[in-house]
Amino acid sequence: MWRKFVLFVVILLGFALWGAAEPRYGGTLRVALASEPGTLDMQLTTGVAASIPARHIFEGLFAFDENYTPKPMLLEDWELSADGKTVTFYLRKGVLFHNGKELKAEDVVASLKRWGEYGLTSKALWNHVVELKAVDDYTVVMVLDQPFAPLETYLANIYGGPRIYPKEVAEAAGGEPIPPENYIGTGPYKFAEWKAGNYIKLVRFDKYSAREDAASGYAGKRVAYFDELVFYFVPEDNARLVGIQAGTYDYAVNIPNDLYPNVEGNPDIVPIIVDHPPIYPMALCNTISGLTANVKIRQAILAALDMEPIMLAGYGDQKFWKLNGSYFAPGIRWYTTAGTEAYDQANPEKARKLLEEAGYNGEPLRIIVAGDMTAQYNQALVVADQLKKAGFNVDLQVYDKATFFARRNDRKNPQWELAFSYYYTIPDPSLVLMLSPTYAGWWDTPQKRILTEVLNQITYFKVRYKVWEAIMELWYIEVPAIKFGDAFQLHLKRADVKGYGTEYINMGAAPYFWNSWK
Amino acid sequence: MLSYIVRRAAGMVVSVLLVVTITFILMQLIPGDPASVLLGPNATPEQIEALKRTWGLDRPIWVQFYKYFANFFRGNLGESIFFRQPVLRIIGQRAETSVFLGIMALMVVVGLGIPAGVIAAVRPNSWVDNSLLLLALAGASIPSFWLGLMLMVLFAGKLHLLPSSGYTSVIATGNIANLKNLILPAFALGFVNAALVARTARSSMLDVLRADYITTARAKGLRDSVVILKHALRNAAIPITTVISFTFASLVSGAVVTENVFALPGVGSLIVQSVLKRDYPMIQGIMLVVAVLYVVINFVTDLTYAFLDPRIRYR
Repeated sequence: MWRKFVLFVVILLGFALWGAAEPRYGGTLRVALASEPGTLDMQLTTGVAASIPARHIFEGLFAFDENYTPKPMLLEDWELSADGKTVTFYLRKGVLFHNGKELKAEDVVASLKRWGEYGLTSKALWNHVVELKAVDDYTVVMVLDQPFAPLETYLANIYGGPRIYPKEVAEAAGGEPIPPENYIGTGPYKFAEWKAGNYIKLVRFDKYSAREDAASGYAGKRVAYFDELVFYFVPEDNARLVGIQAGTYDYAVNIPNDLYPNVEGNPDIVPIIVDHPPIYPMALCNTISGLTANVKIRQAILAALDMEPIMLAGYGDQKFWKLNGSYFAPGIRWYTTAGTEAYDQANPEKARKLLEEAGYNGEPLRIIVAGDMTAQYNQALVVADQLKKAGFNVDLQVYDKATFFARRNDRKNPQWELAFSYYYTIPDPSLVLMLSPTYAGWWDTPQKRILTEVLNQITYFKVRYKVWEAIMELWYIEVPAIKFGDAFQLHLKRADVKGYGTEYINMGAAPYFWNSWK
Repeated sequence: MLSYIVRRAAGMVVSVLLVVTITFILMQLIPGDPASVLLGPNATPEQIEALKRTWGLDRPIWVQFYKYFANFFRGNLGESIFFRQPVLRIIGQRAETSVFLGIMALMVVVGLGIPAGVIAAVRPNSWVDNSLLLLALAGASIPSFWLGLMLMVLFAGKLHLLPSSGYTSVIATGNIANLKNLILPAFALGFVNAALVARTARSSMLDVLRADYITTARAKGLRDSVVILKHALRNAAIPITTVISFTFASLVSGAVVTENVFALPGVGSLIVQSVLKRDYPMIQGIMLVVAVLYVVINFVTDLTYAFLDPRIRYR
């Protein structure tokens, strides 16, 4: 009798567990975002908060798989001519926009043209595009004046990247952000409602045309199990934490690391430490004016810094950060130790010597930081202290984000020497912002220019890797920016949200919710 | 009375115009602009300039000022740069949360503040009075965001009795149960403001209770409750009404921190977000509405004095 009862319980438990693991349709997923996006028109914004809902609505020609390799998304196939200058894109047939219209080549041409003209990350590619045309309803040809190695990466990138809109939407918008009523994409969820200051609601697109290949990262088959996704704007960190504990939300992004003990051991909550890939906290150096226009001063700053206390101040417990001087984190194919012997020197004596050689006379070193970027602010305090000890006269200026970015980006009259920020992992070094001469810091030496050109033209990975190593060597000599280490964000999800695995972790800070259920 | 109303109305219009003008000038003085906020930190100066041109933000300030006021006098407050919707519509959507939150918080303010003040005044320097004063001191000293977080952790995180944050419209959904989302923020906001009302009520009541007509009322053999509630409280009501009316205005328009903590889509959080995003038309619109709210409440409060104390006459 007793054995029968135990067997019955075991079978019952087995069914319960099997039921929980089996995908099922229905329900609403409630996600707590840390901020409200300005727009979901991803061609015109690089915001991560915008990308989280937008990724479910809009798709691109390519999408990244879990190894950050671009894979066709809206494409059936594509080919590159032998000289690397003519690209032919073959669109999948039967892909519908949310307004019921089928995706055609004219939509791709109009979207790419708008992106080329106004998109935030288009210029490096678009400067080489000489022709873009629809050959027939499902074929688009792009002609370049020279080969462009990271082509698929640029087309897969969502941040300021080429999402595909209906022709009429792309053309009507021009350089202005697309208004919410025109958020029409081909993704597994369609836009339903944006309640200002409250939430963005998406509903399942029943006529979504999913790919057949296996899901991997953002690429492959996408299945919308939830009926609705609601993205709430919850700026207060503790409110996101308590909201997860109370079951008000199913998923919460960017929980401050020091709140981790509040959820440790809670069986209802799964903490997700986004350690692969991490984010990269850095200080940009103004290379064109002020004190840091002198490379010796930049080298002195680098020499003075002891990275461990700086990372500790920014990200707390060591499970949330690692020391790493390479631009990319270990495990990413672009990781290299080239140049990093100059990282984490913690040598104020050497810094003093370099200052002497630079003829430093105690002029103020202006550090700017946004007070509402807590980790950056905390790091700036420690950096300021270490630089003072090395003999710098430090002027730490704290602003709100809008003022900070306005000051940081003001090339005509830059009023700073060091500017604190952080950067998400990107799939290709050609997208490293500091390589652009128009990006804050304005690094633009002849050596860098040549190496960047070569990096963008050569298509063989091994050669490109060598070029990237040379850029890293140059980085640590010319010091356009100072990387402090790799930092890991903390996300939380309720344990009953299923379907998350390593593929999510690999995609870093921007989660996605197709192929998930509860 | 009529001439008084006309004069006050003219003054109100001038005050509102001043607020709108000063806001316009201040917004132009602070660094940052909506184009760079929308495009994000990684946009190039050329891209930012191009978007500013599209929005007309590259024009001289005086042209923008003229255009704004020309539209303003036609009753058009413009469109929010970020939401691409008329400013007044967005404020209207947000007003529901703020008005309900304000009313619920006011119920806490009146329900706690006035009884506490009256009881303390009736038993001056007793242990009851001292305890209530201590509580009022605590209420005035505790930041509302801290109290809000503590209430959230206890009632939502631990006891699971109330939702932690967010709010869904009662009007749009017809579901009055959504008001439970406002209970914790209303208490956090109300408790802090109740302390101020309690202290005002106490001092005002103490003054009145010392008056001769109260002694006369008691000598006539009237019950304590009648003396306190009918004779004393009504005469002590003027300063209390003033404090309550301005508390209500600040509860509706300025519950900035509480709305932020509880992720409530109200006017307070709209102010903060609009300033941080440099959404100029939105900021102008909110400041206009808030200015109108204050001058109207001020005006109505002044008229209420005559009702509370018939000796007051307006000329």
